[in-house]
Amino acid sequence: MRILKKVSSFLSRNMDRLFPKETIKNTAESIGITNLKDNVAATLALDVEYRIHEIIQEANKFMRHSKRTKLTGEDINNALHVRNVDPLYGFTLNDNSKFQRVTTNQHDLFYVDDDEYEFENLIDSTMPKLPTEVTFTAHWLAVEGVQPAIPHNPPPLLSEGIVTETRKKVPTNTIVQVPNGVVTGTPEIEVKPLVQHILSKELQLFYEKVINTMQSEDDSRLRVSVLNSLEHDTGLAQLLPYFIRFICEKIGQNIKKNSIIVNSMLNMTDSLINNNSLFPEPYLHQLMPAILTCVVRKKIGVDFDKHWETRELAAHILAKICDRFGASYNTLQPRITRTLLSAFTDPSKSLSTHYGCIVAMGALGREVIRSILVPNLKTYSEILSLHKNSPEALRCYNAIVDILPKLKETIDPSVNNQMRDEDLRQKLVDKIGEYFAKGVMSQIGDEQVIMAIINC
Amino acid sequence: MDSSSNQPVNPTPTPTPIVDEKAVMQYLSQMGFKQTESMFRQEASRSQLSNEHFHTSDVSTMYPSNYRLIKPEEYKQSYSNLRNMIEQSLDKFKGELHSVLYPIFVHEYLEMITKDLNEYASDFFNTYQSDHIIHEKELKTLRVITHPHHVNENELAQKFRSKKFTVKMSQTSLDILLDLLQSNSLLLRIVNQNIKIDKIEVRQGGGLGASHTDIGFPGFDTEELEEFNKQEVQLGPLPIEPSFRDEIEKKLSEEDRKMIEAAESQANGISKPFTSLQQEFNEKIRREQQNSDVPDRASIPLPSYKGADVHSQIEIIKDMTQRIELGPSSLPSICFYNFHNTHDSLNCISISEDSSLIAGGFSDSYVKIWSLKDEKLRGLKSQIKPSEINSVYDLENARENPGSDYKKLLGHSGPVFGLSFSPDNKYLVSCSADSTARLWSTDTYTNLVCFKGHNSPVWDVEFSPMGFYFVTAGHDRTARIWSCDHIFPLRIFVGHMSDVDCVKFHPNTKYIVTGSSDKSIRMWDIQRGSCFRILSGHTGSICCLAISSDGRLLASGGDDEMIILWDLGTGKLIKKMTGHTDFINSLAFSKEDSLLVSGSADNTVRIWDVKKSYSNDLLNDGWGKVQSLSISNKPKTPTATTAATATAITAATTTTTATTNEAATNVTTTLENENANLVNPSMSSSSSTIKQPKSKSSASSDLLKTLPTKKSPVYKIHFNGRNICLAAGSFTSSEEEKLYYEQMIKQMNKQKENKKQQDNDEETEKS
Repeated sequence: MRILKKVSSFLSRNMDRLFPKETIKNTAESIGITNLKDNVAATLALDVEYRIHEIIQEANKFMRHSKRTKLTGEDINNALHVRNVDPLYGFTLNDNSKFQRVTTNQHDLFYVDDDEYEFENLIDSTMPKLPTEVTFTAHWLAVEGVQPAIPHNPPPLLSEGIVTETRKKVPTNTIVQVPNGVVTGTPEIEVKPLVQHILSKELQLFYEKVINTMQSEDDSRLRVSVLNSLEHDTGLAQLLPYFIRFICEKIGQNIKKNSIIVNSMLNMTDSLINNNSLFPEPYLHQLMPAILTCVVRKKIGVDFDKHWETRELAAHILAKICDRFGASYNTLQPRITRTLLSAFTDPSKSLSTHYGCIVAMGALGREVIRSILVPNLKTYSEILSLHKNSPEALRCYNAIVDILPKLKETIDPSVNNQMRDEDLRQKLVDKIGEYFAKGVMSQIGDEQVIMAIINC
Repeated sequence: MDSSSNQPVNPTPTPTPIVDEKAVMQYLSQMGFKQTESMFRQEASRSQLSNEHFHTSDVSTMYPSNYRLIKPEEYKQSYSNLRNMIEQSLDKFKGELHSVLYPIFVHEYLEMITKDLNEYASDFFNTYQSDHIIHEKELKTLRVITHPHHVNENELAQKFRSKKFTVKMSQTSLDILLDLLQSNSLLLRIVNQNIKIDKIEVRQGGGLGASHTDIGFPGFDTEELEEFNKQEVQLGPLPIEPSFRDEIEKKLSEEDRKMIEAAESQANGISKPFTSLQQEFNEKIRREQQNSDVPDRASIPLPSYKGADVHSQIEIIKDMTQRIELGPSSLPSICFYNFHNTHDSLNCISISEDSSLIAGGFSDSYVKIWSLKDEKLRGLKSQIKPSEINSVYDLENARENPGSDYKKLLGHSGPVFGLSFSPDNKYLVSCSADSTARLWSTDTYTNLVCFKGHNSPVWDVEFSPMGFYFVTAGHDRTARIWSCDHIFPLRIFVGHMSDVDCVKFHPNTKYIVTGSSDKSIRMWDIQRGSCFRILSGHTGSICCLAISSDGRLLASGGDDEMIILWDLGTGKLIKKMTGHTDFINSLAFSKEDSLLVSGSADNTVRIWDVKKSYSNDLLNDGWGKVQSLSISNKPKTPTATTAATATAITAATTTTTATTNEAATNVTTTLENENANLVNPSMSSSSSTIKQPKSKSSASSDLLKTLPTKKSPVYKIHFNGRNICLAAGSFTSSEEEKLYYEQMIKQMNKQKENKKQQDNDEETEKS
């Protein structure tokens, strides 16, 4: 009696016990003991908690010696076995037991969500296939302390073992020679490289998987991981020319009919450009026409509305390429801007083309806006006035008004404006025409932006 | 009786001043109410226990002979009960609880002596003295105390009686202890009177593994552990047998001559830099002979050498000449063996000494061996007749043809947790959860012997560097030495308070080192079976060990994500290396002991500089070092320290008040003592350093390189003779990736089949 009393006082001191005595009482009721005394339940609760701790401690040891960091049902059973207790059947096979929560009487209850199977179905079903054999592969984790950038090693940026992205593993390193380097799966391309190219079977498979995923219109999860892989994997250098060729090809084929594929090609380009271990400079001349087409083509896809975002995406990539390779490839940006300008000032081109040009110029930065867009706005306002009130025109108009504030930074904020509002407005009208001046005044209204436009 | 016995547990006891009790007692004895008096005394003694401040100014009255009628057997009984209960408690608290046993042991012994219960006392002493092996020196003193007079005269006994023995404990451990003591008034009294329990904050990993020096008498040198670790050990290499040496030299000079001839015939007079094998060997012998503390060869009986041994020594010398010198400026090349499709069932990996074979132990109770040389494994055929084997060619013919990619060894009936190849690569020993170890031949790929002795899972196994012996470590808290020709263990090493998780042979075969879940590491002499070093400093279970090839340094990795480097000679901690973010699975020194390579469950292999030490002085004890570490990490202003002290004290006082309110529990927790103030902040600051390894920035400066793998926890690190590092791990993939991977395999197989089909078609066309 005395001990029990002490125990219960001990319990009351530690209210946040794992198992409240209510649990014990509930359990007792479920097996037919209805009048369990409080102090008995409390003692039992203490003991149950202790035993649970004990089992977990033992199971932990099994987990650690199995070199795992996740405790499994198997570990618990091993622990029970060591303690001479019957194992719990039915918890071992499931890899990830998902616990479901239900709330009854303001208490949370957790249970494992198990499917029910018909026993007969189980017997009649075909045998599950055998698991694949355990194999091993070897690769250099470090050569004289330096980690080589091969697909078997994680990319150098993601060090510290916090590799969280879902990326793929290229499993074996057996290298096979491909006759003529023809990549299977794209039979329409006839490649005849001068130098014989050795492409491992795994890379070929990887390539195939990538192009299949990118062409399929569903399975966005896999697509995300593919894009992720293209962005981060270090060992893709060999595949780059094939990817570029594939992108150009697909954009050419689908630009008329399927904007979804065009979009995914652009995403793929984006990933490849972002990958720091790839060097796409030699292939830019192949890539640029395709991307420019996505910006300025009259009609993209069959959907009336989808092409806007395609153009925006392409414009973005265009700017990124200029940004990354502009320094090493100095004719790149002038050529692009020339193309954009000629399309922009040509009244015979459709408004959707104009829209692409505007967005691209906006993305290329304020220098392009200052030197090319603004001087031509006056003439362009006339073009636009021809299509007055059509939705496309409105879109172009808004796009221009949206990108003009980028000029703000060109002007020194300390220089104070001496002009009166009327003068300012007049100058603005002179510079960019009545039509845009109105929009700039009403929608932006920032004196500095206006000054910047005037000073262009 | 019942109601009065309940009195002490009453939450609000009526305060009964001691003076009144004495008056009553006097009155009773004067009036001759003997029975009432004894009853009263008994009850009064209990109520005294409940008093928060129990003061006895006169030591001699501490154990009055008629204090209470305690049966002589009760001492031993109560101690063994407590001991058993502590043994069965959770590992997390065991270390803390265990520290209270020693003062209880001493006090019970002294009390028995005072009561003239000599026989019981010595029986008690002999039975349990082995529990307190680190206090050996004090035990010797206590042993000679056999008379009540001695107790009063002996300095040590007086110290125990006059001062309170300090023990540190977390709240949970204290609760457990109180629970254990409830039913035992004798022990409760001893704890109340003589032991001061300082409460500490619960730390990550819990337990008191970090230091023994905080325990004991305040202000008094309790360096028993240090004293214990001063026992002399012989860490030098085992001397080579003279005849063996001669034979090797003869062979080496032959090799040298062959090489010179070959070089001359090829190089046409151009002299190439050439290292003589014989010189290399002599150099090695000379280096070994410089050590003064070499063990006696006769102390370790080993079978005499064979021709194969000479051959393997020559291979080792050859490798030595081609060894790459490694150091902080020249890091090793690491070859990573990545296992696929394991589905978390691979438990351990072992690589043979000559790096020709790799073996994996699986949770499905089997062992698999693969060749690392890209050859087929060819076992001997089952129906082989030894009488027909006369030459190498016969043996070759007796092997299977064409052999297989891997060999599966079946025999265990539980998950396989440990594997070790013999140094001559002829045998493999495995250990399993079925509490057995099994010896396998790598000639026939069959089981040779099953060693039964452990009575619960065996966690680790290792072959001795000379072969013949191997050591196992198990869940039953023992490590055992076996020889290949006996089915029973030759020595059993008992002493760890929890599972022995890992075991390593010292390079000279004279010692083994074990790491345990009780957070300590012990070194044992295999001949005598006794413990020579106890190293505590980890705050978690020890997962792996490595000993440098010169036998002086020990590296240990724990599940506290820390690697500690120890000096085996002095038994002192050299440095702690932090940076890993998960369990450390394997450690290995490079061949010239300049680098340490670790593999961890955090999917990285890390390279550490062994020689580089902290700039702060290393002469302090363990705690001092931790503190200096924390200071070096972020310099604290004095105000911050005082603030920390203040919070530590307030935290501690609040817990004290909490207990004071509980009148039922009355273990004195004193904090007014200055010493407590001094210790507590150090505890709290160290707790912050221990948690720090979680953050990335806390990697210590001796981390030379971190090499991440692709989602593959690293299981094993192995250096081959030429200083190439081999690492092995198992690829873990998420469900999605598994699916993807399987698809890929399927496609590959399909293509293969297609190709085969085409080839077949072509062939048929041709024919």
